Amino acid sequence: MGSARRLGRTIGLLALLFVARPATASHFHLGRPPLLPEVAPIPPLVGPLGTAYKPLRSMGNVVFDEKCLSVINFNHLQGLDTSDTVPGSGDEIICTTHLWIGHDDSVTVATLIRRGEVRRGGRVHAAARLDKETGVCTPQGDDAWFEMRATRCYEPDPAYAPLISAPFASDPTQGFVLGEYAPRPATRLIAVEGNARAVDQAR
Amino acid sequence: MSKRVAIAMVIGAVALLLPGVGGARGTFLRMVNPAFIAFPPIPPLAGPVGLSFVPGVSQGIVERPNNCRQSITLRGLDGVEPSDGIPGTGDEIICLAHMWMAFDGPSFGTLVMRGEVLGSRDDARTFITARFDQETTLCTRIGARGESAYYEARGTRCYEPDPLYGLVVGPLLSVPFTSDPTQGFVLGTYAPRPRSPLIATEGLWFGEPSDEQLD
Repeated sequence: MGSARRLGRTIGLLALLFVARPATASHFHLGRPPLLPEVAPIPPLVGPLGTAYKPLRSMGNVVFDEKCLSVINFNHLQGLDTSDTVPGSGDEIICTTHLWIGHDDSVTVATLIRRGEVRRGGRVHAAARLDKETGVCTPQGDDAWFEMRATRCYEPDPAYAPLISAPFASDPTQGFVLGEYAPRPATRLIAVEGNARAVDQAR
Repeated sequence: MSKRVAIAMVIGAVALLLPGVGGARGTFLRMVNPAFIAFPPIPPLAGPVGLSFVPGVSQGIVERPNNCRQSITLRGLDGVEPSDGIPGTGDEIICLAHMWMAFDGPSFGTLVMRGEVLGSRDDARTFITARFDQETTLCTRIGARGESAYYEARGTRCYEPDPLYGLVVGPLLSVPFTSDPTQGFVLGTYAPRPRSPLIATEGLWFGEPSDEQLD
């Protein structure tokens, strides 16, 4: 009995340490582009603005890593219909990330288009391995992305259909537009990259 | 091995595998709803591009742990002279972060930061921490009063030292830091770049880390 209690106490302590761990801070890396392409700057942020993201309640983040993982997370979005969970059916939120792709001594402008199903409670979780979905990203391939901090997420737009140069194998409505920046969807903006609330740090 | 130790190891391993625990790999950015959109876009990235940042050897990371703090770390730089350790003397690495802000109302501008160059010429490093809530009256930590935020905070770019930047040429700081008046915010316009070569800009490298990076 005493052993079980000690075991429970240990697990409880470890669980407390885990829950109390420092939350991930917004962070991104720095790198040196091989050259500066003579291209138009990333499209400016324009409206209309939406109300799906509620300050002090909603939360969201985007992740990219060196293994070509792309993740979009939202929670507690308001006023969006739950989607049908069928990829590419047009009822997903749409996130665009403008970036430069550096390969050897060349740089290509691009937009990564991602979609995420809206689930109960205004939750969105969309993870993709870009190396498996497209041939654009290669882990340990010596490529680099620059000027990529322009992820913007929009409410569902069934009519949004830019010409995707490198579509996902699992969903051709997602992928990379290469050589130019994709236009924004016609729908309202949900969120952009930024830092606001300390309460986010605890989630 | 006791059962308790075994369980602790399993839980520890799981914790380390989850995001937010195993270090600042990759890019992690919070999303927020902007309150305004009508400001001009940030300046395009312009040269000259220097060679002090060596892909696969050098490292750089920007962290924003809350709405009033930003830190920048650069390591493994090649060809940058160590500085004198005295703030604002012009021999520091200069980093600019262009952003849209909602501090005491909508605004846009540039955060100008400087970092002393440590180490040696062939292995230089710098650490910069800007605490807006302590260095200025602009930013209030969320939870204390109001809601300060920044959006479109893209365009963090670091440059080699430019002794004349901010003195003879360059920006007039609207809100200088209390600890170093050569750092601070330029508001209502974007600060021009220093004339010195670019060290690094925001990016994500997919190559295999070198031994130096793994140390």
